[in-house]
Amino acid sequence: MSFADVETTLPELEICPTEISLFRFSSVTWNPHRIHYDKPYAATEGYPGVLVQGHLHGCWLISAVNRWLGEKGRIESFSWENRHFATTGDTLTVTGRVAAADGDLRTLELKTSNQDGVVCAPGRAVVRLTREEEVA
Amino acid sequence: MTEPSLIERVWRAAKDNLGLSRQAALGRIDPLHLERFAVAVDGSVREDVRGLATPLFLSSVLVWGAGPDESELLPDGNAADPFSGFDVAGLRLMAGGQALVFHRELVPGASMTVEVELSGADLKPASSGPLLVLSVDRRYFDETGLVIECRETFLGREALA
Repeated sequence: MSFADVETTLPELEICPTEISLFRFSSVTWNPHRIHYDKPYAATEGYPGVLVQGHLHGCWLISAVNRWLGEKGRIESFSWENRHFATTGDTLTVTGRVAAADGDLRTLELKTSNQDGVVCAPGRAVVRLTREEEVA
Repeated sequence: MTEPSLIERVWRAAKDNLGLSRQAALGRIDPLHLERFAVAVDGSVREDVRGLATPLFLSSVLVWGAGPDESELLPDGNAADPFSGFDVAGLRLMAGGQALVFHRELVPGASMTVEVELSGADLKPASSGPLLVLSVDRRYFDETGLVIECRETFLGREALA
């Protein structure tokens, strides 16, 4: 048994985005788009609150991979799509599973869903295991 | 002859920029910026990754220099010319996602450069009106070679009436 067998699930990561966390992410990425920090402006585009940045969805997905993988390997490639908006007050859950194995490579299927089960951001990562004992 | 719509004009301008590559120096990656980025993502700098760069740091930062003056920003806060070549004023532009290949770890303190190229510009029909799909390729280099390749998709729609 390896921690990275096919169908292994990654530990879930629960995230409750706040206006502070979104403000800090906009600041550190120098992203001035008002939709991420100006609730009245976001309402003019039809949203119930300020929106989670698309890049932050990606960061949370890859953070879940890193927490699971630790020093047992490295991420070779990663992709995600922004499919549905998320806003402050949502409870987001990042889940993932090992979908395929090929030698020391593992393909992971990932997604972030909101409290209603709507997928906000599906993703995919390929990791290379670096500890021989982990490679089946 | 019918005047092209705003989104068609932006699409045509984008197509004129397809394949044009430009380079920019990003300067030294300050470890403090990496720690701030980690705190913004995870709420704290986790001990298990302390000293390492969060993988999406480079591809998440929108502007590396001071950026445009505030008076030059669009009403929605965005820059009018985020791709250095054509104006997207009037469109609602959203990040659609990224596909990345990690060749090596980003080393805190490294001096980086980036090559940027607009690789795709498609106008597609959608239920909410025409959708402009832009693909931007970025290749990040440190002093010894390629670190990260990133293809990012941006989605543009006409502003709400």
